[in-house]
Amino acid sequence: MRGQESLGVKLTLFGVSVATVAALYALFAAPSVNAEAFTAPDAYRILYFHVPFAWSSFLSFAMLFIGAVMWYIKRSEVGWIWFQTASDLGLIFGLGVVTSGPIWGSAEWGTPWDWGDLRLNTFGLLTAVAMFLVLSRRSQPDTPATRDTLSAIGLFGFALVPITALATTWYQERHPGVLVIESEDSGLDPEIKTLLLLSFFIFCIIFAGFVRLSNHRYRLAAQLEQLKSDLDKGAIQ
Amino acid sequence: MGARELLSVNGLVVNRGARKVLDGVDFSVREGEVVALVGENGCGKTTLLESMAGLHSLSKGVVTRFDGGNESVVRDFDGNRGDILGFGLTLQSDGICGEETVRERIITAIRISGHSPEDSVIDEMLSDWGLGHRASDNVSQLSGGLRRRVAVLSGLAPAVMRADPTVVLLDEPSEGLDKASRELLAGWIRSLSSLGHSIVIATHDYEMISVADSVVSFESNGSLSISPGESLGNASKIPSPTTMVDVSRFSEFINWAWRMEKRNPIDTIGRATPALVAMLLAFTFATDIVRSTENYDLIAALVLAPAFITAVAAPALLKRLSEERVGDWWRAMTGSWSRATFSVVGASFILPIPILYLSWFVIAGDIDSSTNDQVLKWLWLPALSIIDVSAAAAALHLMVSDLRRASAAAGSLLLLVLVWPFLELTSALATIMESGMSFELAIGEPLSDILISSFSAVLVWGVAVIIPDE
Amino acid sequence: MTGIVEAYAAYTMMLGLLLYHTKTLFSEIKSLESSLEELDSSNSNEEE
Repeated sequence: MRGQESLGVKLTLFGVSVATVAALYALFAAPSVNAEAFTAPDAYRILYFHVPFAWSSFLSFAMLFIGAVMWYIKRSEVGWIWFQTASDLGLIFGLGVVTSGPIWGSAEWGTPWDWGDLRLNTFGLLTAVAMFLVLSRRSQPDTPATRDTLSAIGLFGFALVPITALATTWYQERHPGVLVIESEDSGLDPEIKTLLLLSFFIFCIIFAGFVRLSNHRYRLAAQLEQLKSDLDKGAIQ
Repeated sequence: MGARELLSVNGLVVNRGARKVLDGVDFSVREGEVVALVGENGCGKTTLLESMAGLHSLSKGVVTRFDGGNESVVRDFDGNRGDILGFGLTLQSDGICGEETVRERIITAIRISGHSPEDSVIDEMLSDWGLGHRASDNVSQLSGGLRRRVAVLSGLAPAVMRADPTVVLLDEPSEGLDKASRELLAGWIRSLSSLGHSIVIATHDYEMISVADSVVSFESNGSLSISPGESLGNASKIPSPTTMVDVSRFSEFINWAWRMEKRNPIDTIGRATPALVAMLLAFTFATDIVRSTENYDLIAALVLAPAFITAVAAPALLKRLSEERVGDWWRAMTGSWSRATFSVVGASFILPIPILYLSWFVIAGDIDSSTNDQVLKWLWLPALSIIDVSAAAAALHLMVSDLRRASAAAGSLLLLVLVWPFLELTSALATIMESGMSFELAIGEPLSDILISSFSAVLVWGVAVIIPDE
Repeated sequence: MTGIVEAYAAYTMMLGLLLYHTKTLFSEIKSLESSLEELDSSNSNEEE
């Protein structure tokens, strides 16, 4: 366990430090785009973090789904640890996506939100579910019944994905989508593409570091709770 | 028998629904006396105990407290409530919010009784009760038995800290406690009694009854009979009293509410989420509205709606107060101003201003710059009025929560009265957009509209706070 | 309007989230480890 924790520490510290440098580079040194092709040409720089944040939150939600299934079906303690880690990370990365996206959208397309955009709405809903799970885990007693309910809600979050797909498609019949976040696919400058891939790689490291540290944290919490429960039984002398 | 009276109940008649639970009860408790109230379920022992804490409205009679030579009314049948300090109370359903930590709960119970405990004293008490290893855990994380220990200790601790004799009211304290805890409880009761404190215990547990000096039995015909008790149990070592300090119960309540919200921000999220959704929905459709004077009322309404939604949402404080009768414990402790305090603390103070400004930026920020400048300069004024609306809404929600099955009540129907402040504020904002801010106090001028909105909200708040019985 | 202010705001938010979560993880792990040590050592004192 110590080995795992020190690896998590190294990955996290390395990843976050490099990300900080990358943020400064993105803001001040990354290549500029054609000012005539964009309403807010400097706002494009948000891309270098926004896309990796979106990818990391996607990984988190996938991990949440797997953890929920592992707990719900097998009552696996490892599954519950994954569930806890993934809901925390889903919230952090999801918040990053649903705040940076509207900020960019306001600047570039004049609109912070598009009810007809599938990805934006899916991330928004999943982030809200993650927030619910994080807050509920802290406020509810940790019992198998609570874990069952929260896992079911985590799984519910995934049912929202196809529901949101249908809803946004129907909405677009009447109100054609305003926002199409396709910039990463529409013939990017090679230098921008390279920087984006580097940023993506850094976030993979950060994600791995966070997962290791967070799993370690929840294992420690489980150990502590076990010790306290043992003390509860023989507490008054 | 020369011991002074500490609390007396005279001619008490209490109705719960259609049933007369207490009918002309006369009862008193003396210094150092341990009294057990016994009887079948539903006989009225809990009602009597809680009436002594001022929690029930009286059809007749009066509850009086004698404290260091001063006589004060705890409650009378005119609805007058006194502000009684320094007594201990353990309700049958704990009265503790799950978000509180064990240590915090004991400190709060002691502080609200007018003492400022040393950390070492708290540690000692927690350790004696086998709660030391759980001191920083939330009460919601504890087993039922440990939670009950916390509830019992928070009822005893105020008396432990107090040098002058006081009253401790315990409702079924031994229920859920293990054998060792029950023995410790008996020991602490005997110690407190030896120091002159009176302890009243509503119980059907024979072990607790045997600790009592006198036993008050509720007979089947509704009368009370008093018999001597066995006064069993050996005194335990308890911490020494401390001097009293000047502590405001209202600041303690505000601190408690703030801590609970910081730990679990359900009020902020519960208000902000619908507001943000409303804002984004309003934005989607407001882009098609031409920015001209004939549409300013509509634009103003769309801009104000999210903040208004924030204001009228049910406060999370109410949910916290209804958990395990937390609200009743705080009502007992805060006395006659509890309703007013709860409704003001439950209002949204922080959100209306930022939500309103964000709303403006999102929905109407593209308007011409001179209008924009005027609005940005004065938008905080309608926002302040929205805070008043929030307090009024909280008072209305609080009124509905008095219902036994409050969750089955359509309380939102009462909120419709707050449409008028909203309309006044819409008119004010539209006028500010059209012709700038004016400080004239004529009907139709923005400042008048804002003042009328606030005044209406304060009226609603006042009526919702004053009319119901505490 | 170049959008640079929006870029600063977005990066402040995203970097802030990363740093906040890093700090939270480290401080919670430290606090849990010291609580475990404390309980472990008070347990072994009682056994002696």
